[in-house]
Amino acid sequence: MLKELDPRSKVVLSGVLATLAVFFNHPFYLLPLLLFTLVLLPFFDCRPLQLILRMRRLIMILLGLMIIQSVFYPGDTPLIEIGTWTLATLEGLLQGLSLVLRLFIILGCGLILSSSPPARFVQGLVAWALPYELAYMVSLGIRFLPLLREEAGDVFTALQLRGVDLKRMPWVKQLRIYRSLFFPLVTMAILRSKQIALSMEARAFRAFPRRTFLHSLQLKTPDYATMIISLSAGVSLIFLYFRGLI
Amino acid sequence: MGLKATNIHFRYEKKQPLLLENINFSIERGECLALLGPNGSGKTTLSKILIGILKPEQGEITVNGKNLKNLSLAQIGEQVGYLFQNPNRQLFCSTVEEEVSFALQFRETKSETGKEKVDHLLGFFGLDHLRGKFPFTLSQGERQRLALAAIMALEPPFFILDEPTTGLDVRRRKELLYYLQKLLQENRGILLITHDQKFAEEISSKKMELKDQSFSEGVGRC
Ligand SMILES: Nc1ncnc2c1ncn2[C@@H]1O[C@H](COP(=O)(O)OP(=O)(O)OP(=O)(O)O)[C@@H](O)[C@H]1O
Ligand SMILES: [Mg+2]
Repeated sequence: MLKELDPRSKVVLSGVLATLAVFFNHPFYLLPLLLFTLVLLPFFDCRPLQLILRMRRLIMILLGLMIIQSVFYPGDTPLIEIGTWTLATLEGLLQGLSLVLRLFIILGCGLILSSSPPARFVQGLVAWALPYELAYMVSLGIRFLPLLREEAGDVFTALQLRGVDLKRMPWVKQLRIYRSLFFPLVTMAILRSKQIALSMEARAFRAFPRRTFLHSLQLKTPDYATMIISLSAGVSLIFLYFRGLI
Repeated sequence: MGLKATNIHFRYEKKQPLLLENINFSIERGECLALLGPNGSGKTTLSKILIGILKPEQGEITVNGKNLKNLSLAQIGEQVGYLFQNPNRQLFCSTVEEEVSFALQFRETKSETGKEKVDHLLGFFGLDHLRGKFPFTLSQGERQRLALAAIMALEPPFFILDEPTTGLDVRRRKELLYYLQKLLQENRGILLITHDQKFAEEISSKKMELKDQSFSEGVGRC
């Protein structure tokens, strides 16, 4: 199972995918790349369909972005014209499409990365000589976000249970409520992060320059295979792309 | 009528065994049901099902004859006041006073009576001197009292209190007991989740125990 790969292999694999996504600048290349990423995902125990359902809103925003891109991007092949004024061009549309595809590929890379627990990541990064504190901060940050979301979710439930029907409220009123929540939520987050810092130090974080880990990390054959294959495939694809051979 | 649960089944994940299996009970107005059980037996989970945060796999809940499924969280909130196990999770205003008056702002109460009610609640829960403070800088016990005061402002007919006595000192505990008794006299129903056997015995007329995913109901004073 690819899920069991060393986090470092996952970093290399998703790094290559993301790099390709940035270099490629046409849906013609980006679409196959996205399909490939989507095919990979189930092997990492991620379900792309579920993700798409959960992120309906974000996808709507992205589509909006795409439309805006295609309107403002200069191009020569008009698609829609009003009088003498070109509203959208083929180049613009392709550009917008590329942007969306690219974002999705990068999202997929994020999913691949998140199939390892954050603690394993820290370990992998440290094995690559990244300072421990830095690596830990990164992983803590990743873990902090869902926590915040959960907390905000609870607050919204509490809010509604106190008789506020957000869905039936005019949006001006809704906005006022969101605004009034902002300050307490942020303060809450700051207080919480202070608490985490304190309890980490109370548990001897950074008391010694080196540390040991509960589980040891070892690169195995599948890891080497993954890294070598993805790196060489990535390099040759980029080479071919810029030579105009594909 | 009352708050009624029939045949509730629940689990967090499909593959796991049931956490709650075939739970049945009802609370009438004017009575208090104590819900007891060891850590992790599903008391908080059951309470979340009762106010519609979690959906049961099977079974239904009715409040005054209305199925919970057809009510929005806000409508449920008007019927059932819920005290979270962790009071931090249900405080979201900038000052203590705002926190208590929050629910009233969205109701067609006259501001005079609203103010009176807030003053009364603040006084009763001993929060008068903390009016202008940020709720998160209060002590644990003060926060617990504030959360209680905030849900009492709505005056719903039913209350679900998830361990309301944690963090309260002896005096506050006694005062809470007195307050709950008053609520019962006002013909409100209470579901009390607690580890405090003595407190439960002093106030409740029925008790229900969740054990390793099974439960028993004993009726009568215990
Ligand atoms: N969101 C969740 N997802 C998965 N499992 C959960 C979740 N919340 C609680 N559980 C599990 O469900 C079980 C019951 O939890 P619950 O909080 O209902 O217990 P409780 O009876 O309230 O315990 P306590 O006396 O400690 O408050 C626990 O084993 C807990 O690990
Ligand atoms: Mg609990």
